[in-house]
Amino acid sequence: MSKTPLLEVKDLVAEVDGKTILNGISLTVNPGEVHAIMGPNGSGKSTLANVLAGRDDYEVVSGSVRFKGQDLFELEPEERAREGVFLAFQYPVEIPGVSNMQFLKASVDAVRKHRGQEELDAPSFMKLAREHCKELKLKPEFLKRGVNEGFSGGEKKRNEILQMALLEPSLALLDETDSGLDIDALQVAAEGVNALRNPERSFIVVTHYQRLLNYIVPDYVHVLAGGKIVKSGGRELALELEEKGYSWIQ
Amino acid sequence: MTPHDLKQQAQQQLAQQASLDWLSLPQKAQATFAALDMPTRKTEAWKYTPLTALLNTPYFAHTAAGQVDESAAADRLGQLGDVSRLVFVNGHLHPGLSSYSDLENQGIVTLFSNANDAQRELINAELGTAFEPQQHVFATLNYSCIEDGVLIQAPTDFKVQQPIQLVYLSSGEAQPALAQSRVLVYGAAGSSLELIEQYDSLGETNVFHNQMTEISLQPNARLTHLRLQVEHESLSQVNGLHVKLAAGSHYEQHALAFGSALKRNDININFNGSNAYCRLNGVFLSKHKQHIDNHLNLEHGVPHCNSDTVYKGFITDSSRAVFNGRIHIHKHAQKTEAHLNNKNLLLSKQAELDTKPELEIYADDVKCSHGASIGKLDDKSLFYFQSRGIDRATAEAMLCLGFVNEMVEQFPNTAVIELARQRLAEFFNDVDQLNHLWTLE
Repeated sequence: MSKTPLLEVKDLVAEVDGKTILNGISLTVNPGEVHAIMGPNGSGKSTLANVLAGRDDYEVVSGSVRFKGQDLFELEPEERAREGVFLAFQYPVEIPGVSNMQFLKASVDAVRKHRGQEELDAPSFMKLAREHCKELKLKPEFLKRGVNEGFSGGEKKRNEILQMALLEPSLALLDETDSGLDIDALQVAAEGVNALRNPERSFIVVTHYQRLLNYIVPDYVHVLAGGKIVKSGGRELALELEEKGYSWIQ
Repeated sequence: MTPHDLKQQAQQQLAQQASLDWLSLPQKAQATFAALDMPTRKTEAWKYTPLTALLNTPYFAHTAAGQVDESAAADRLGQLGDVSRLVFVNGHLHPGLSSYSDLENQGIVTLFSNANDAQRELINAELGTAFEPQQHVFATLNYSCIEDGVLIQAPTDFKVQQPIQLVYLSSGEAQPALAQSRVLVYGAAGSSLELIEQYDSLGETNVFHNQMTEISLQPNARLTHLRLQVEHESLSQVNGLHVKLAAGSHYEQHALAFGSALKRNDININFNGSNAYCRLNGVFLSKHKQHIDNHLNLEHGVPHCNSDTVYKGFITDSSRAVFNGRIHIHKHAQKTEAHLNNKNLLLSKQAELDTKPELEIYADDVKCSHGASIGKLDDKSLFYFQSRGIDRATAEAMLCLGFVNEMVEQFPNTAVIELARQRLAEFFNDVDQLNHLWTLE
């Protein structure tokens, strides 16, 4: 059965301050698939996630990205988000003075409006947010605190998963969600991700270590080095990398 | 009019009024005032303060009468729950809007004009002692004629349960006029008190409000001081706050202030006994062509005292703001720990901010820091909002509100936070993109 790809990246070249970071990436993600992007530090894997989400620190030099058939680069970051692109940040920003609840509500309102869904009233939204908090083992007070303000590493990452659960994206980009997490926090985060897996939703999981992939089992693994995909395979590729290290591939 | 004419006008005006006869201060203040020059742009401490509002309006030719529509004024007072309240309209106590008989009966709140002998003695001993008169010409003007004032006295080892709300309402007068008011807070040893000062207005106003607040905290006394200066932008105000801290006392201030035609805050903190603590937490906002000026001076005169000062500024349109924060560590003030920071959001190319954190240290064993920053909204934060589907304009608005709210949400009184948010909603009402957002909870 042939599917329409959700995401088609072709020969993508991107640079920052004149330095090439992505040097011809091609990648096709179909609905429901989980792709892991692995690679050593500086290989460009985080850049890929950020370029797709629309961060303007990076300049796209050439290549194309189609998301649901449309040119992704014609969309502002907020339009991408409303269309269903979600980036779980490696380093979520702290925003004191804006409560997590305020932020989440504004975000969900914007996305729902775009999708033609009815705006949730405050009580229904609170209820929904609290339910998701519970699943992610976050206390309800968590919603009243400033966005990521004084959150532990694990709380920040779980807050990203919470946002993902509320926004129901079609493509989730997880940028080193495992970094800075102990094994318990990692499991909780991974369970949160797995609960969102469905035949329509796709994931690109960016990670340095194969550890995360024990919990979020990918369909495909790509190894990035020097801004290029140097090897692709199934899950077993991650295990092989774990055993032999990145030097094996380079 | 020149500053000199202005001064003469004020003197003539005040000469027609009588001070309380048992007060020794007015005579001294008159002499000091006569010897001082009114500030000009060449006066260092007034370098960035425009005097046009003062020089072009004959405020000093008349004293405010303080008439007000009582029901409109009552709506302006906020819902602060169980408080003792004194309301002043253009400097005059309004008995109908005030309610403080409980604390009056306990001798905690007393008008100068009702003071008994012991209180008169206290007022004579304390009033005018928390600052250097030569450096505060408007303070000497205020004390040149004292028809009345408020004494707030927290008794020894006593926690005053009810917060005291002082409301200074500015309203329109028949002609531009001078309004003066003053309060003396005396926290006896081991006492504890919460004071809420609300500077508010009923629509446009043509008064010049010259306010003095002096605070004297005795050993181990505590004062929590909330200040909202949320008047109409037509107001001109010079506001002096002078604090003396004895050993082990604890003074904590949280302030929200809007700019206006002229608004000048002088805050002067004197550490007179060891192990005293002072926290100054403030946020000021200016828009349109408003001006706001914050002059903070912390005199660490003795060892083992701590101070923490954080002031944030939000400046937009063609408005102008000044922050001058000085920490002065005297020679013997060893083991002082003092930190001061001023962080500003400057949102318009026409807006101007002059910030000057100063640290003068004459002791060698202290821990101090000072800093200031002026910035625009953070790109990383904006991207975070956008990546969640929030458009850039809304993201900018939310970040602005967050910047201000970070300070306001630290106010240790939820009813005051609510009142502050109402006034902020009014303030943001005509700032593009910010108008509908403040209510978002």
